[in-house]
Amino acid sequence: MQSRSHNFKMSLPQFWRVALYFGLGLIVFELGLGLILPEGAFVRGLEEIETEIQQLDAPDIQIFGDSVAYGGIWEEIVAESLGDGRTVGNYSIPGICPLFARSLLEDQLAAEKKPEAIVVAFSLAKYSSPSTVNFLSRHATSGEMLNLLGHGVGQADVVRGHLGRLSYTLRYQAELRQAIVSADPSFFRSLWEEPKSISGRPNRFAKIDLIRERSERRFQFENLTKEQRLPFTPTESVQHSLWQFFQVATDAGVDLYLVAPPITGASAECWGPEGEERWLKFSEKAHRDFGIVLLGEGFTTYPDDHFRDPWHLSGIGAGRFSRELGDLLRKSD
Amino acid sequence: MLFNSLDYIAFFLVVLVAIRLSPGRHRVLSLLVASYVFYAAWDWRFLSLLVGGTLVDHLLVRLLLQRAEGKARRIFVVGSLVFNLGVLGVFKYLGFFVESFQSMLGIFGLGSTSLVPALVLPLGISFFTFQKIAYVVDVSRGRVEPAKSFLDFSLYVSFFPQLIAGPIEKPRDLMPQLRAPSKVTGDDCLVACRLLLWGFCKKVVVADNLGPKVDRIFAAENLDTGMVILGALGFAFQIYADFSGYTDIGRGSARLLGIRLQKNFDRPFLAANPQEFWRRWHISLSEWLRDYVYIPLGGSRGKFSRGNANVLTTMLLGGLWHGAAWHFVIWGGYHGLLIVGHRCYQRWTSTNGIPGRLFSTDVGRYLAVAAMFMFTLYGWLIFRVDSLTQLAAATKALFALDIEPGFLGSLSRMLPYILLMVLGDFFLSSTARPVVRLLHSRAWILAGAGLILFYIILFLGNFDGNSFIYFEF
Repeated sequence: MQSRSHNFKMSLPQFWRVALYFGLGLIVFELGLGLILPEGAFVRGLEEIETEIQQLDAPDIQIFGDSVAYGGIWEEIVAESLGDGRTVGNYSIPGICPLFARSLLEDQLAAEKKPEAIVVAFSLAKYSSPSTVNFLSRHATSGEMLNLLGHGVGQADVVRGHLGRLSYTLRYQAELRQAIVSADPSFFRSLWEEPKSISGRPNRFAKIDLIRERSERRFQFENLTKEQRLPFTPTESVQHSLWQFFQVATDAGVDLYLVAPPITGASAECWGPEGEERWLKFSEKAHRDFGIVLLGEGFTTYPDDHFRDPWHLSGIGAGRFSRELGDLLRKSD
Repeated sequence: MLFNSLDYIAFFLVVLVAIRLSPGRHRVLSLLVASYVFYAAWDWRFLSLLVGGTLVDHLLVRLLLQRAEGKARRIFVVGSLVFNLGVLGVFKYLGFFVESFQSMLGIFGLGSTSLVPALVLPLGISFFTFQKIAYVVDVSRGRVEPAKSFLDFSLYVSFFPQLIAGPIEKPRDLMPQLRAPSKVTGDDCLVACRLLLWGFCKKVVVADNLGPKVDRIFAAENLDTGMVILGALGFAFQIYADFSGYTDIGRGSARLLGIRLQKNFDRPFLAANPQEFWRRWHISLSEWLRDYVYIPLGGSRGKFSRGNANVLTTMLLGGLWHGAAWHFVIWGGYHGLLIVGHRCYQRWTSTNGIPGRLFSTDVGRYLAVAAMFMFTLYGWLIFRVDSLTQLAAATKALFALDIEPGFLGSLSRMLPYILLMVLGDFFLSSTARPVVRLLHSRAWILAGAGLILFYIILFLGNFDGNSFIYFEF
């Protein structure tokens, strides 16, 4: 059973021929995949959403966050809980990273659609791992990537962003892997969904998410994503991007609120009191620099049945969080 | 800088181009600079430890060479051993021994506050320390030509493809190659690409997908028989894929630079006895322990019992080398006992005229491999547990023969990765010669096989940037 060498000799030209076939195969496969599989609905829909944000009448209170806030905050419930007639609009965009927040707000303000207040509700994982590369490879052009260099985006991010733009498998690696490993075709189904406009969201939530069944899953360490397993430490690039966003909002006279979306017990345990302390320090600094009001105190933990996966709230969780957010906003006034 | 990162790929491509463009003598300097950059990328402060330690050994060897044979020479060898083991001891073992001593005092109600600050373990210290010791000892014994310059010796100590987790190269194998790397042929490129792709696959697909499943088992408060078996099985393949994956990426990188690093693994789970296991698992460490601990202790010369004592001492030290914790020492001792047990069995069969025909047949060998695999699995259980209390609980659970209904479900989630590892090992071995011949028959078939492996990595790989297990040692 001892292994021996294979004794297959190959010259350099022969090797280069193999490498050439490999390269050609790679290009054919990537092109084929790109032709068969469309881009994700949110990738296709982002431009429309950007335009829509500039056209819609700005709500009094605008929620701004990523997928956690997108599915976890229902504007009607927040408005009802506020009870003072102010309008609430959820402008959260799944997959968005903080570095894009500033330009989106600038465009909105340039279109003279200024909200009275903005609630920043990024998922806590985004502070330590902002998904910059995902965002660049899916949304930014080469020129935009280079413009962002030094503004919260490093050289390695730009290289990875370009590689992602070139390769479908790199662009959607995490989703493809999840679909294959979990034998869950929902990612492939979602590719053919119509992009969701902001104005089309409330009905969708009311009809679908409110009746979402109570989840029986238990989220343990294995279910935590890499980001959740990291200690909660806001990166410099996130802080840099958010501070730019805060500056634009403050200069325009928009009131700012910061909220930490609820997390599972497993995440809370993983991040521990040290993580919570870092979050409080981060929000204190934001308060000192821009007068931002922190809604709630530290991390809020919800039971596992309030989540549909380790970090996204289920219907029951979203309803509760929206009510609590409305209460917090009312009390903070 | 982890091998399984885009940073490393970019770094390596730059190094490859730089080395190709470097003329003659400058290649050593270029490789040394690259190696130091690679090490400094982790923590530049510890670069001084690497460079300083190399300088001390270089000076000791220079002084040693100026002396005649005999005691005067031995002083410098001992000086080098004291220095190297002292530095290793301070960084790796001081806290462990002091804490153990404090725990002992605690039994008698004495001492409670920590006496030593927690030190960061410099990456790769166990590996490059062993290489330096091998060099000093071999030079003193005339087994190897001393390095022609400080640059040559520094590169031998810090050559980046094997700096962090081996293979622990012998000076007589690596130093001449670093001085005059061989011309890179098409064969070298092909072997290197195969090692790189399969190494990445083992790390990001097998090890990093099994890791969270194994972690979950060992994080459970109560273990049953099924969970213990799954935990040990999963960890056995996780650590094998992780460590051999690292080695393959390192060997592949070195091969593209014209340097052949030694094989560190040879399908270890096919070993039929404990000695064979250590000839197949972490081969470079086994050879180091044999050459610089076991043989100097007396090896198998002299009384049978003395030989057994030497085996046990060597294996206990080998266990301690893996980490400053009692379960590593126990793991080393366990393997030592397995080897001693096998030596006794061999002696018994030879003295009683039993030809051992059973194990010379195919069926007998399969049985022996299966039995050895079971022993190995228990060894991995000792290696993986978080505490001795957990080891006791796991051992108790193992014999309780209590298997929960979820066992098959959990097994089915691990099996695809284990099968991938087994199949990959099979197809890349000589026993799959017809398959290998088919692959080599046409360039497009070979390229297609490479593409399949590439997309297995992309589609199934866990790119969370997990570190390698052996970096901790």
